[in-house]
Amino acid sequence: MADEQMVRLLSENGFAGVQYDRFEEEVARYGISVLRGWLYSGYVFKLVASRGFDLKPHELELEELVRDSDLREELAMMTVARALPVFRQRALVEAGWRAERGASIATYFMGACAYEFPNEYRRHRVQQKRWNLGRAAEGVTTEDRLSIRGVAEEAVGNLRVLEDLKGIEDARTRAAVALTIDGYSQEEIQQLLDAKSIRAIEGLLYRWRTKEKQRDEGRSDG
Amino acid sequence: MVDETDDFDALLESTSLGGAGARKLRSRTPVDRARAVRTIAHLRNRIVHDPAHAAAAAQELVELLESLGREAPPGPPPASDPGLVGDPTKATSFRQLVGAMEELRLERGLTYKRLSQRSSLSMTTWSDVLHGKRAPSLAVVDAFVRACGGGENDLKVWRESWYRVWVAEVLADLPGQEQRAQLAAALTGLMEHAPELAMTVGHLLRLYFVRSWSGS
Repeated sequence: MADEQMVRLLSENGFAGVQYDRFEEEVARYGISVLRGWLYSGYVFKLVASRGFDLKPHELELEELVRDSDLREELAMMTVARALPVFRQRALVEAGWRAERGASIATYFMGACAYEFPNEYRRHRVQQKRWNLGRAAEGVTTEDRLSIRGVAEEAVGNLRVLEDLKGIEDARTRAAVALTIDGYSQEEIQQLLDAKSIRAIEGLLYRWRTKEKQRDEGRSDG
Repeated sequence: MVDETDDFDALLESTSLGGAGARKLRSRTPVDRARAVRTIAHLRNRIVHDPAHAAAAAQELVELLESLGREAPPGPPPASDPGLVGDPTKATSFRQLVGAMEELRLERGLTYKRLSQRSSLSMTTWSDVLHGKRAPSLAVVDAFVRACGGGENDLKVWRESWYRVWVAEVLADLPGQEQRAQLAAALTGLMEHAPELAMTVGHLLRLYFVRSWSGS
């Protein structure tokens, strides 16, 4: 398996040097992109909750993540920055990652990111709280700030997505729909949601469309 | 070398990072962004594991984050309006004035080191003043407002607040309320037209009515 071959090659230089730099660069690019997608769709909260870190995001927080691409970028970058050294040490130097256990090296890295995300998100919340206190002194509420920024960022389409998504109970389907509307390909969505195949994603979307159609027909019949 | 690089890239593309979806996802993030993240990771690591160089690494990290526009929370108040947080106009003592300074410092996310870099004053001076160990002089308040990004209007507001507090502190132990009020009005008036003379008079008064603000 190529992942194993890569790790063996990198270990020859003690996970350092030009080749490791190149590898880590690509791991970081991958990680940032995946996290941005997870943040946009809100899937990251479901993922970390399943690992015991329930961050209980407020609806306004989810809305902000849909609207604010800078925030998604910042959280993704800082989470990956936290995860890179941990991943190098635990997965590579200490040989915590093993091909025979089934997870690919890309998936394992995203596991490290999911583990680090709650810390980064808590840091963001503390900063946001301090900021909001300052704004409260000016009489500006969170809702005001969100609506001002929303208009500026042409978020109308994104908000509609959010409205549509509210009706979808299953987190994976909700994420798949959000990511589809945001222009991710099915191959990317498969990767983002760690689905077995593209067909699995097609299946999710097909079942959602069918359900929506039936609901619409039900409405027009009634 | 070219062959080696090509071989490495070919191997990389055959790993789980090279699948169709993963490749597309990677291409959504520019290489320089990934490099910045790696630098952030290395600096964070140095801060935690290399105490001897932690301060330099922290400084480098702050500068990198600033260059990425990441230090301040989204949409900070305009730089020329520090009075929004840490209002000095309500201070009636140096202790309260320092409280307003500390609020503004925290709101701006400025460390003592950063304050020191943005002024000609040492970290110790900033630490002493902001911990209440010594009263802020007018020069310190000026330097503070400028380090926080304040403009001329902000300087005026903070200076006036400092004058007012200073006069109150200087005259605090003067016997006789009426006499104190008259002197306060005279000193404040003098401050507006001849601040240096007013301060000399204040110092002379203080020699007779010594009162340490920090001990009050």
